[in-house]
Amino acid sequence: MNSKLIEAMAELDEDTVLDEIQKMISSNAAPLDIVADLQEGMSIIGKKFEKEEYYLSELIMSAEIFEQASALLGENADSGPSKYGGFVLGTIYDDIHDIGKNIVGTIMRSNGFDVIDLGVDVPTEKYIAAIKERKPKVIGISCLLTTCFDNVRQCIKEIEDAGLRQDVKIIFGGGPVDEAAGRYVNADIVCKNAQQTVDYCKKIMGVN
Amino acid sequence: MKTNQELLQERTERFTKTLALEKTDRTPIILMIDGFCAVHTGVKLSEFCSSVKRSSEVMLDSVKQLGDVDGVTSAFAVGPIFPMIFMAKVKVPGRELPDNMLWQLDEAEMMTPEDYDTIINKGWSNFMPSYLKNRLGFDFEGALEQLAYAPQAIQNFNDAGYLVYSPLVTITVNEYLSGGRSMSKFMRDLFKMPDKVEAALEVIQKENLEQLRQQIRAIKPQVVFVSPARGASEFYSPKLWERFVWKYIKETADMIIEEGVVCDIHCDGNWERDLDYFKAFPKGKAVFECDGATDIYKIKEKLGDRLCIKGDVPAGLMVLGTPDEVYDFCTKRIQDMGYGYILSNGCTLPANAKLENVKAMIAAATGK
Repeated sequence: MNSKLIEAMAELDEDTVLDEIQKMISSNAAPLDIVADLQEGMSIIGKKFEKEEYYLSELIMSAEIFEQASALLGENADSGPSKYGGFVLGTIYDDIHDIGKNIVGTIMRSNGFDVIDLGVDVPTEKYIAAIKERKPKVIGISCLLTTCFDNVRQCIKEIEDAGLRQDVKIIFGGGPVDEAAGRYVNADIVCKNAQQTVDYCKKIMGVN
Repeated sequence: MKTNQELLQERTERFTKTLALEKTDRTPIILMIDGFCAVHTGVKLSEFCSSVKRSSEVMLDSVKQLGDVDGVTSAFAVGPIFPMIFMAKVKVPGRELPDNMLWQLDEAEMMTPEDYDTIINKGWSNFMPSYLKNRLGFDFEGALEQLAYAPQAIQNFNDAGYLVYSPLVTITVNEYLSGGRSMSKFMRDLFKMPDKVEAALEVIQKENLEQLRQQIRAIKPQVVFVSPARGASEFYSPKLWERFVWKYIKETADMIIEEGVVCDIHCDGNWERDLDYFKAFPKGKAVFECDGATDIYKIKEKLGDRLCIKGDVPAGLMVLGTPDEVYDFCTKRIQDMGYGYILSNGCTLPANAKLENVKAMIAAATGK
């Protein structure tokens, strides 16, 4: 455990994070140990967000640093099984918004989830194929347009018709999404930000 | 039966008193609408987006059918000209999207960190038009030609008896860079190169304010619409918000108020943490326009004796709610907010809002 790396990550000190990773690579530290330290730092960031010491600006910055760090580690960052399992994510078909989805994806990845990002304008078949192939416990559907609420509802219905609904929890999120919209599309939960998504997924996956 | 001019006068008086937090005969209702009008009147969204003139014609036709609303926020649809506001590409129905799909911002990292230097060294007006044309492929001249119709569009609404809430629209300058760089990269820049971002913003702000002041003097609007877009407190730490968002809201609003005009601040998202900042504005000179994300009762408690409040009717309610639910929601808002409240949608009325819900909203305001 490199406490300096953990602290730098938690304090959003990108230069120190990248320096420490370079040093650890030079001293042949295991990439997964480095990732674990980064994730520990991200966990502190999540707590600071909960306590309103950090805001979305800090979450975005942390995701940016994590991506830089992952780039330094290259393929080694992805080696081995993910800490908490898979999370399928996408923006519903006819909707091309991706900012919120991308933030959620990066924050989830940096918290140890194996994120399968299906992109934007995602047709139902793609969600179903990803559920069959990757068997995630949770999937996330993003939607920024009220005109696409019916698409989400139909998508979830088809997931159910395919016999996959009982094995997967569905998170619904996006600007205009509220509890009523969540009930309308038959989602399991509405998450208003990335941290809520992390917390819900950890709960579902039995992680403290 | 009242003439259109009598109706316009009556609605303008009601509206003016509301801005000043004075007693009125009833709460004014001003709709922020665009795509809904196309759906309502059976016009394809591609046709609706084909020109400023066409969108305005369709909107006026729709509003006439809706009946006794006091006015509309804008006299034409701004979606197709979003690149001029957000410095990002927009996908438009009939062009990149199917005929009846709503326009959507296609935000990506189109502006580079090097562009900050160009803006600082050469100025915003020497950067922006070529950026729009060459980097985004946006027909800047064509858009300006179309916007020349705006005064006529406003006149058409006025002639029909409806006021146009904000004939002049601007955005807080940080949003130009946030849209052009993409929100994530812009946030990163605020941590990595805050002084450079600030220097670029100062250049843009100076030019923007000068231009806006001239426009105010030429158009003489009653209200100027200022959109901080993604400037809500929930997005930024207090330190960043104060330096990169509030500073530009305050400067812009101060100038508008100085020109004798009311400043509408379009506050999408949750601003609860920073409501106290808005106490800086003189009574009756600014409007806090909310979309349901900020608790309107907190806004009323902190700012109700100073600022007019507009909006709050949630997009989701207009799409998924029943007419009774919409009516009850709006009636409660009207009763609880009292004078100094304009019944309006939280941001824009969704294109797929139910017509009967829009009618229920109007009924709540008019009592008819």
